Order: sequence, then C-alpha cells, then structure tokens
Amino acid sequence: MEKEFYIDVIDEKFYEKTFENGLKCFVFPKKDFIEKQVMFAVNYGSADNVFFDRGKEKKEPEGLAHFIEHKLFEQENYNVFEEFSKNGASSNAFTNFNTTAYYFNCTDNFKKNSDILFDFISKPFFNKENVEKEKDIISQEIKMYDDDPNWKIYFNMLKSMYYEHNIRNDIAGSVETIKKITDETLYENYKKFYNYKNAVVVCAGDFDRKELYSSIEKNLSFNQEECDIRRMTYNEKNEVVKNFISEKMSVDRAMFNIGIKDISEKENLSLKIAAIKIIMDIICGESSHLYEELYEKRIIDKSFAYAYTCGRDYGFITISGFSDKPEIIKELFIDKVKSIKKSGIDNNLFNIIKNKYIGRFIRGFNSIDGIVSAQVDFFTKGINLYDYSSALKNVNTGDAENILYEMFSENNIVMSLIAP
Amino acid sequence: MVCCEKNIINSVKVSKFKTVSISAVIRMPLERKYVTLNALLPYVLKRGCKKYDTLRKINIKMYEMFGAVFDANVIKKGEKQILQFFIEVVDKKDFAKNALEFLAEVITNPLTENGGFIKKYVDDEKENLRDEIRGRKNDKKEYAKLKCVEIMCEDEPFGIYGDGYEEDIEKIDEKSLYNRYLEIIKNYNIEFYCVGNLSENDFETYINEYFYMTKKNNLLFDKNYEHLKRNTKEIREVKETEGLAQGRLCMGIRTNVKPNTDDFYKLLVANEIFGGSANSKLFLKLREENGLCYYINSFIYRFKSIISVQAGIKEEDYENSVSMIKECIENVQNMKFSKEDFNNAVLGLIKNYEGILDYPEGLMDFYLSQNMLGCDLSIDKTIKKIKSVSERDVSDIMKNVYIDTIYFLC
Repeated sequence: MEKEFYIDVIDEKFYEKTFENGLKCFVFPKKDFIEKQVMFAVNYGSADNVFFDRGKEKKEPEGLAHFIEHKLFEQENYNVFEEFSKNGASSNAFTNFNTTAYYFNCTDNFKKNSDILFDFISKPFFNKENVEKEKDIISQEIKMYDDDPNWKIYFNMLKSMYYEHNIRNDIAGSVETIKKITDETLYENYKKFYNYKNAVVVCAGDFDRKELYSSIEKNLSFNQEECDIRRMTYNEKNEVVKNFISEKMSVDRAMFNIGIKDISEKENLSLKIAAIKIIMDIICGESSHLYEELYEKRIIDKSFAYAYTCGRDYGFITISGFSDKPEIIKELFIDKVKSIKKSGIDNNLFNIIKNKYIGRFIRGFNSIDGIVSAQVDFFTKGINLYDYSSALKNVNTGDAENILYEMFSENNIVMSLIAP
Repeated sequence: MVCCEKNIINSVKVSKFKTVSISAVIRMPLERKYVTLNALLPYVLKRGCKKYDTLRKINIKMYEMFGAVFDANVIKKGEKQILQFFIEVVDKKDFAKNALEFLAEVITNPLTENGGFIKKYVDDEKENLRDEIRGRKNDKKEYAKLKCVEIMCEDEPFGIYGDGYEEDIEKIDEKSLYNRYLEIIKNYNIEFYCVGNLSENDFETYINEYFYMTKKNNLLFDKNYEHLKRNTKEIREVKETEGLAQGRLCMGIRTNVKPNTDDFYKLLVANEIFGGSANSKLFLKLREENGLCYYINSFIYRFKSIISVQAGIKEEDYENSVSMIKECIENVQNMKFSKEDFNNAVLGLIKNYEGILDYPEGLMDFYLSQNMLGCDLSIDKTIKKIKSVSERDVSDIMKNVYIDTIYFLC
C-alpha cells in the first residue's frame, strides 16, 4: 500500500509505503540531486534498555542499543564498509534515545547499495571474540565524550531532571556497563527490537522508487516472530530531581544548560513542536528584546541557543551557551514567561516568527541528509513531515498560549553548569 | 558557471535548490600584524550598520525574509585570511535582491562615530573575540589540530591562528579597527558567489546596483607555491599533559605537493587510501584490527600541502599508535594496497566531488578555491583528473612525504 503526500510550501510530493510485514518506507523524490541517501532505522534506542518481558520488568545493560549499532556492521563473509566503498557509497550509523539508524550515501549503484544495507542489517553476526574487541573501541568512544564539556553538561542536566526515565543515561553506557554485554545479549535484543513493525526505511534523492521497493522485498521479506515490544511506562514526577548541578572541567569559559522539563501529554506532537519553536523564539529568539538585553549586557554571546527535544513519553527544552551569569538568564527568562502569560501573544509577531520557521522548513528541503534525518526522527514520534508542515501552517496564538500555560513552571527547571 | 570581470562575479544558476545562497568574499594575506584586526572586523560589522543599527534590527530583517540565514566570519585557507559574508534566502518574492542590498549595507555602510566604529560595539566584540580565542581549548580534538599546525609551521604564515591572538586585542580600538576596514575596502577586491535560481545577469545587475566599487589590481591568485617546499630532517614530538580521559594525537606530514598541479590529485587518492575513509589503512589497522581508537582519519590542507592525521587513543598506546601510523604510510609508499583499495578510493573521491553539486555552500567554496588556485576546473574536469591517477602515481607521490610534527595532548 502506497500513500502520496503533497507538501504545498515546497511544492513537492513524498510517498509512504507499508509492506506486508509491517515495514514502513518513506520516499522523498529530489529531482536533479546527485546524491541519494537511504536510512534504515529501528524505534529502539539507549532509553529502551528497560522494558517488560513476559510480564516482568527486564533491565539490560546501559549502552546496549549503541553496542548493537557498532556490531551489526560485522559480517561473516564480507566487510560492510568495503562493500559500500566498492560501489561508491559511504556508510555510517547513529544511536540516540529512541532510535538506532544505519545509512549510506551514494551517487551511483543505488540498487546494489540498497541491497548491501538491507542485507547487513538483517544478518547479525555476533560472537564472543568480536564482541570483546568492540569493547575497547567503544570504551575509547565513551572516553572521547568524557572530555567533551557539551556532552557532560547535557547529561548532567538530564540526570538532574529525570527520576526514572532512561534518557538520563549516557547513550553509549559506561565502560562498566558495556562489560556486561555478551553476544547472547546482543542476539536476544536484536531479535526483539529489530522487528519490521518497529522499523522504517527513509530515502531521498533522484531515483526510481520501484528499485528500492524491490530491494526491500528481496532482502527484508522473510517472516519474523510476532512483534512483542512492551515499553516501560514511567511514573515520572512533574518536578525535577534537583534544580542545580555544577562540575569543573578543563574549559576556559563557564558554560550553562538550562533545562525545562515538559511533563505534558505527548499528543498532537507536530503542533506542539511547531508551537514551542515559535514560543521560544518570541521569548528569547534573536529578534526578541530579551536576547538583545542579554547580548548588550554581555551576559550571552552568539553561542546562545535553545532546542526542544521530545519522544513518545518525554520532552524538555534546553537553553545553552557560554555565560558568567547564567542565573540572570534564568531569572529574566522566567520573568518574560510570566509577562507573556499575562499579556498573551502578539498576533503580528507570532506570524513573522511563524514565517521564519516556514522558511527554515523550506530550506531544510535543500538537503538530502536533512530530509532523511528529520523524517526518521519524526517516525519514532509517530508523525511525518507532512504532519509537521501542516502544523506549522495551522498553528495559532491560542495553541501557543495553551502550551505556554501547561509547560512552563518554576519547579521544573534545572540549571547545569560546567565551570573552569 | 560564467566568470565575468575576471572572477569577481561567480554564479551557478540552478533550480533544484529552495534557496538562493550568496557570499561576498575578501581574500587577504595571512599576516601576523593584521590577523587579529581582520578577525575582529566581521564581529563588529555584523553587529550593526547605518541602515540596521542594532543586532535586533538586523535579526528582524532576517525574520522578515522568511528566516534568512546571515553570517560573517574569517577563515584561514592556506596562507590567506578570508573575510566572508554569507546570506541564504528562500527563493521567493525579491528576497535575493533584498539579500544583496542587505549585504551591501553591512559591508559598505558601517555605523561610525567620531571617525571610528561605535565604541560600545567594538569593546563588546573584543570581549567576544577574546572568549572565542580562549574557547579553542574546549574542543580537544580541534585544539590538538590547531596546536600541531602552530608548532609545525612556527616560521611560516600558516602557523598563524586565523582568528587572531588574545594579546593583540587590548591594543585595538574603534579607530584603529575602522582604519583597517578602510584599508581593506581600498586595497582588496570583493568577490561574489551565488548558487540558486538567480540568473547571472540579475546577480550582476544587483551587485552593480548596490555595491559601488572599483576593481583593484591586487593579485587574485597566487601561483607561486615554492614556499611550500620543506624537508624535515627529524620528527618533532610535543606532548602536553592536561589529565584528559582520552589522549588526542595529531600528526602533521609534509608532502611538498603544489595544490594547482596534477600531483595534487595523486596525493588526494593516496590520502584516501591512507586515512580518508572507514575503509582506509589507518582505520582498518588501528581501529578494526587493534581496537586502539574510536576515531582516526587523515585529511589534506590543500593550500599548504600538509596531511594531518588525528586519533583519540589511550596515553599508554602512543608509541604503538605512532609506529602503526608510520607502517600505514610505508604501505602506501610500497604499493601494499590492493587494486580494490585503489578503485574504492577513486570511487569515494568521485562521489565526494559529485556530491558538492548538492550543497550550495560547498559549491561556492569549490569555486572560491578554484579562483585561489588560478585554475578553471569544473567538477567534471576535477573528476577526470582523479580518474587519470594510477597506482604507481599514488606510491610515487607518497614516497615524498615526511612526518614533520607529532602533537599529543593527554
């Protein structure tokens, strides 16, 4: 079954096909683009190491999803990178809270490269020896992040924000937790989560999509066991664990992350994402008075940024940058929220900022990689790029004001610092 | 691509992009005495101009153009310091024309008082630049790269930091910076690049409408690369201890290959086999076979003929890693790579060059590089050059390389 979507602001179509085994595939035709990207992703990430198994809560080592990502590239009969390389493609993978994704970029041999991707992701080859060796490599990856102040400050913030939710854990786990991983753990969890009903293929480029469909049918058509994924449900509290955390590192300037925990229901996510972008921009975006004031007083600089991150059962805003006076930023931010709550949102301003995000959405369609990543991210949230484009078009001040009321309270704010 | 006015106006009209990207570029020599002044200039210019006199007004202007993206900075490319202004607008209404008008305001119509820039802006941005310079240390991998170049090229302009020096900042004031600005506008050309659905004709018309500038006689490209030659007798090793969780190794290798000759394409293929991909000698040897690191790769500073290798390793694995990297160099020198390794490297490079056609910023940078080299190669011609490289060429070109400096931060 294939559905066609038309996004009017960019005047382009895309297709969503569902295969018999439940696998979903999104195709974004990009006429005249030279590169093509295909990504296979499972709705399984670092936060899924705890789940229900036969009625009981089961906890696997932290860093397991990321470990599978590393090891799936290992094949019995060939080297995946070399195979892609032979066909002019480059390949990589990533793991985040909810997703593990594998992809390649190529200009030629589209069908052949698709075959390689779907072949290796469907044929795990884990054994004791190759699992042990990978622990050294991943330990080095973990240590690389240990020296990264941006990474540290972010996870310190999440740990201070969440009591239970597993997004508080490092994506790659720790040198200790990965020691517990064996080839059996990998196989067991691969089998459970790499189910086609829990997966998606997203691609963009100038190619014949029938070629892609036939590659999927050839490589991924076999029957799997019934999909039996019971995800954890958390009784996450409204408030944060603690509202301040600070760590010293070898940096030359103080850094801050202000985290705002969003405990509201995660329904109608497209509208919520669109509305939060606009609200945050109204409060402290580059054209706001607050931004101007902070910049003029040299409390922030161009590194100042904010983002909303969410999944099916969590959400938070991060405000970040370098500053010697992060407390003032927090204070003025809270004041501004209060004053907008009182005065309501100006319709004119709302529309100017809305146009900015429509413009940025349009700009996103310049990039093959950007389109694919955005759609994969949306897939794990249960939405697609069409939903988001409509939300962006339809969102109004009323929606934004509702979200402002339900989301921003003083009890759910964390300040995380890295000091020199 | 049509170059009118001797490479001053460069435009690629293409309809597949949703935006029009435009950059205005000023190429200057990388000189110790001007480097910090030049580096500070974009900070101050993008803070405000006569027509949009505050940062907020500039930002509102961008918002009104459907979230146009604007930035100005300096980059170091070989021994040039390049001041660039970039704007990207959605391909709607007359945004492209407005974008050029805006760039002209920022570049040619800055805000001044008492014969200088605005004191408050200069003072603020001096602090921001100081923070930026101090912040180099925050990214250990990047920092190791910068340090390696600094040590390796201490007697050459390439060893100069492209974003300036903290000790210079104090001496700069609103007047000295403004004078430097006037000198730059007087002595250097502004080159324009455009990628998007805008005809060359319109692009040129808008430029002529908003920029009142005469063409200068400064050298647009520098074909003399004799200064690149340098033979290293012994390897310089510098180790700095900071108590990091992971050691960051950076190795600088002299190649003595002129960037505007066919030899460059040989070096390109050689480097791809050596450390350019996840299928390279370095990646396979150090990571896949020996589990010494998570990241390892090499790239070429084209305009300085240096290959740079970086890896994140344990402190105690230093000696072992260095000797394995040396072994990988020798393997490429002695043609100890398969026909397939070679073919894969060529294919990978072709893909990378073809891929540039999908990235507006990449395309603009490609043509800027061509102008700097005094070459007039299209992407197709570049690919032909890569295809003409042989396995023997790879080995021969690699035989001339020397390890110059190894920097280790741990």
